[in-house]
Amino acid sequence: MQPIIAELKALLASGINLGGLDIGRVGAEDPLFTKQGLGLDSIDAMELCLLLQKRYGISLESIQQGWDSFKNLTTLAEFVESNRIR
Amino acid sequence: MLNRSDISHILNDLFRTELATGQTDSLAVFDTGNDNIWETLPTEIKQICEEKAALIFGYMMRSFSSFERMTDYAYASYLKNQQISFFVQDVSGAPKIYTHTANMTWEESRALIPLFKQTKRIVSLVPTNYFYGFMFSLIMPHALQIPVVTLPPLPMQSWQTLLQHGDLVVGFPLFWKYWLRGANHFPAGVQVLSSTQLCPDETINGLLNAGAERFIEIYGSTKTGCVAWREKANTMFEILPFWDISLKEKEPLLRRAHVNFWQRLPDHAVVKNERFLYPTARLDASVKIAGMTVYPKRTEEELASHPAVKACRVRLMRPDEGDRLKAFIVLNEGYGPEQIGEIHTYLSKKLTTHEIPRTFTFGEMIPTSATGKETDW
Repeated sequence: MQPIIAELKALLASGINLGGLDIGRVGAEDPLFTKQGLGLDSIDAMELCLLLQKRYGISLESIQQGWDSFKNLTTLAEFVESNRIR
Repeated sequence: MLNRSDISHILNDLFRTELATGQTDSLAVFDTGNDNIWETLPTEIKQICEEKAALIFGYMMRSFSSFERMTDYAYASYLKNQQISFFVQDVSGAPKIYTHTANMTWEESRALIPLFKQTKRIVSLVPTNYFYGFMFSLIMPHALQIPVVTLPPLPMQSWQTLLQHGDLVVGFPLFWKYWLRGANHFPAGVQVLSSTQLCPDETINGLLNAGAERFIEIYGSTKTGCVAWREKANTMFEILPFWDISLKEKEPLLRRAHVNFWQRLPDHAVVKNERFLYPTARLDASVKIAGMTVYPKRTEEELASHPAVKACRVRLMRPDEGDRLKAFIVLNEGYGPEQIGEIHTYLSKKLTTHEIPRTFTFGEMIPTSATGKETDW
């Protein structure tokens, strides 16, 4: 799982303006969308959808899928590995 | 007239918004299918929601033992008062309340019905605890006697395939921008609605090129309600028929035809033939981020209160830079740019998510031109 997590960190760092936060310090289990974690917001969620579509050819099928997979880097990595078409 | 289910919808959207704007759970705003949020709210968010619900429905703030009891009380208050209030933050962060009576919303819906004769279903992506969502997710479906489907404003596969002929999709400019970036297309016969801030011409044309049968944009505000509409890029907005307009003052004044109360628009505007207008700039210093009203000055004041900050400026990014606030910071002696994480944490305790800048630039002094005028960075 480590290589894909490193890849996702690089994707987030290049595709989402993180406001100077060091994504290297974000742990695999840290929440992505709360202020206790990376602090991403609703605009970032839209950006993340497009990044996943462009990089891996993945489109969210439902909000529940986004809910489950956007929790942290580990769940996001599992989602990407299970659904990527490139 | 709203029913109990509508009141429950407004309350659930309020809860979702509070969870998201405070970054307790930023994805909550997309959880539109979950009507069981109340039980899971953290205590501090629950209290804020109780305060805001009291403001919206016009009763003295009180606590409730269950969501059912809260809905019952809010619904009874709505039936008694025949009005509902919406609020935006002012520059100090305090809520500014604007009340809309049932008569006002009835008048607006009557004026809007002719614009949406072809609509068979509304697909709404906007929350009902804000005026725009309230009008087009609750009032207009009742007025047009058509169903409404609520979906999260995420560029997902499922709701693109869910769209059908006769749908009116209620969105906002930032969402439409992302929709277009995802190279999406509309099925035949789908109309697109936008509001909350001016939709850029390239977005309007992009939506039409992506197969939208018709684009409609509503100009209005939480304060005024719906004021005017247009359906093409690079055109003025036609003022809805229930408004009178006065051009005697420096800025145009509006009043509802049967109410003797003149009010200013929230924007500077040019007016043509007394029935067409185009907003040119905000009267106050607010900007819109994802449809939310944000004051860069408020962020600047909070940023300036951090011990590391000697001076700072905050402004909206240029369109080519993004859709957020950006900050320029002059640090006090002994502090360096590595302070950014701490500054970010400091701001996140005081501001909502869209009020926090996403780009921080450091320098030895606030940038100025040769003539001493402050410049962009």
